[in-house]
Amino acid sequence: MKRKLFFALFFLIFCQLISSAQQGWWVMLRDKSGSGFDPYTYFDSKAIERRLIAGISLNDPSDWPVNENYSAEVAALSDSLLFESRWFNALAVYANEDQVLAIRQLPYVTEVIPGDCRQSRIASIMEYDTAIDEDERDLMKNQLLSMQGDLFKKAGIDGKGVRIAIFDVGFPGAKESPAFSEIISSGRLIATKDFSKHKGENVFWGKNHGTEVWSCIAGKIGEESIGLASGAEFLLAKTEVNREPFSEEVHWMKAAEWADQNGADIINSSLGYTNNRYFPWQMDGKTSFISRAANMAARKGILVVNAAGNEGDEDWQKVGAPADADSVLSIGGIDPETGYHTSFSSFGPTADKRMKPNVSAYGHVIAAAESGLVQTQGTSFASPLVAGFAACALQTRKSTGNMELFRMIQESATLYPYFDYAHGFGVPQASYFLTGSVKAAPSFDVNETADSVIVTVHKARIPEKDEDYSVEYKPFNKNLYFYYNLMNPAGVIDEYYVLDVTEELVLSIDKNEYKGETLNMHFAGYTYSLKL
Amino acid sequence: MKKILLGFFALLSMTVFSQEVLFSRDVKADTVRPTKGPNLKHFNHQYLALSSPFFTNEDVDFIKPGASLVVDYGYRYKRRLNNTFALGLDFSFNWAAYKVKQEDGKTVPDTVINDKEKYKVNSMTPAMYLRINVGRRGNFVGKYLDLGAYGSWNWKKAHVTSNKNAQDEWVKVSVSRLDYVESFSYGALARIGFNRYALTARYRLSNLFTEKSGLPELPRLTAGLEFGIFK
Repeated sequence: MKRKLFFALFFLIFCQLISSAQQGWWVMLRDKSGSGFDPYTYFDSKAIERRLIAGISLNDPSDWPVNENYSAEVAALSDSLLFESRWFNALAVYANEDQVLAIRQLPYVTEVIPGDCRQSRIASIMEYDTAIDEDERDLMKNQLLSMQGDLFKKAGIDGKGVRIAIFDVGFPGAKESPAFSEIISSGRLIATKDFSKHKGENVFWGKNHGTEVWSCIAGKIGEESIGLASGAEFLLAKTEVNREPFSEEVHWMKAAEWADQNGADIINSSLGYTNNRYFPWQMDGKTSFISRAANMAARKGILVVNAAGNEGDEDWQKVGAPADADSVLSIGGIDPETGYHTSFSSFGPTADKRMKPNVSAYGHVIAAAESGLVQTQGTSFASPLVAGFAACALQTRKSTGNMELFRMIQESATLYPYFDYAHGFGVPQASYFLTGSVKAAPSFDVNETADSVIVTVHKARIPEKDEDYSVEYKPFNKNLYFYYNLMNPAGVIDEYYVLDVTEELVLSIDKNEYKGETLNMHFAGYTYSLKL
Repeated sequence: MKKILLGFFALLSMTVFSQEVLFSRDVKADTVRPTKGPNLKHFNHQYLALSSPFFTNEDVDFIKPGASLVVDYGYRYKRRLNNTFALGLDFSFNWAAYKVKQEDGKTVPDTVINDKEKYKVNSMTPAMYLRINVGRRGNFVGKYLDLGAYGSWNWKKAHVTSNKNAQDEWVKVSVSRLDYVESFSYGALARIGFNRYALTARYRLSNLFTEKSGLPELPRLTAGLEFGIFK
């Protein structure tokens, strides 16, 4: 009897394992026949304005609702219907294998795709304290100064009139925090939505991450800014839950369609999906649904800003989804101490060899948490710093479409046109949007012989050194380092380096070793390329 | 001086850094697809398991199951066949202690009542298993059911009694190399796991006590928890 009981128990646990494996599915539909759609009732006026600026049709079939009959029939055959995606003409459902077999038989179903997913938030809190010391205050200033945020501030640019949607795990304490009091009291918190637990509009619960992220976009304590876009409008979406496999990808998509409907100009998503669900070679911007959804949001005229990820010193190493999507502005992390790549920031390129991340910002920041200022780290916070920057940039050019803005942010960055797979084009600079780009004068000489290339920097450009003969580090001194890469004929970088510059002679390259490759170099704002 | 240095490096005709390399990355090396990982072709890791014997109908109830314990420390290899199936091998060291109840009518191994009494069986166990994974996943162990078989070499077989003497001191007597305990045993195993955690069970199909001994069999079933040691 005892033995039977034991085996029954073991079998029950196995059944539970199988039943809990009942997974989410995307049911792709053939058409939207019979769907009525009025863009003027569906979209917020800001969404209509954005579409008109970007030249996007107001009556695009991808915005039409899913056919009601299809939805009802599929729902009847499933355990539960999670979401109707207008963009993908798809239904997200929970169903078992038998139910999926029945759904596949429906004449208007083109495909049923498994969709199991888990996420990791891209941050880790180092310490928590309501007061900050002098060094931390410097860090808070420099996280914005590194992007020339002071120039935006002097010009009175604070993201006014730009609407930013933030997708995160929750925004506890944000309503009471002084960091957001001005935004809330002036009615610039336009809408909130909890997609995670169907709790309506309450997003002010969950983990601190979202509150900190929001502060890096727009937080302000008195006259001290944490983020640049304190004058922007906001849509807050809680999309993340703990260990909820399928639904988070669905929540993200729901939130993206909601943000589009409510007129978001920019989406900030400090989230990444990696090894629980995918393999690094699937990070091609096409495999994951969330990357496809992020690209779709970009096609709707929204600038999608996403953290590159914190896998740089983990086995995964590469950017996660949706940072792998080609139309997503992926943000890498800079170490404020050194001014170059911070070890945890995920690397590019994507699996199909596209450049990622696109640009970088500080990956170590001061942020406003639930009950005070904290020092924290992660590309989760580099991303909102750039989202705030993008809002200010957009304010300077209101008629700029999202992909044009994307291009300009890249062009404004410190290393542009040089790039590599750790820094992208470097850190975006406000001066580009206020006074235009300035062509830098040559800062180094390249001497070619039959077999070698020798590079010497101009003496006047060598950074000062302290008594210990080490370089005196300044907050993100963009002139400090010599960057170079070797790019193969397919346009893919094979190797890249950052060198300290303490004397004139920097580099000697054996041309035979790299025959056919292009040597790209950058120092003090000047970029030079040479075919070897 | 600059010209001399330039000439020197030109003569060297090799890639030389004159300055400190702060950061470098070889992308070609990055793009080599790995074959080792939780859901890649090969995966191996160590594990630790704690189990307890459980009585079944056939067993004579002479062991204290709660106080008895089996500790396994092992090394596991998994060869992925596809996203659902994998084959694997385990090799483990096992330390089992079966505490014998001290009550009237005791017959195993004799009728003597001791303060404490146990059988210690230490073994080395190779095993093979088929893994059935459930659900799609990335490079992640995920949810699984393992079914397999094992064989053990019982390299230590001891009967240990402990009694307090008149001076209130413990006197421990250990009789090892017991000829009535088999040197080899075999059985079936099953595991239900999620990532590094598993509920594990082993059922011994062979007898541990020799037929000649006439002793009732030690519990055949052990079940417990296993913890995979991997990143």
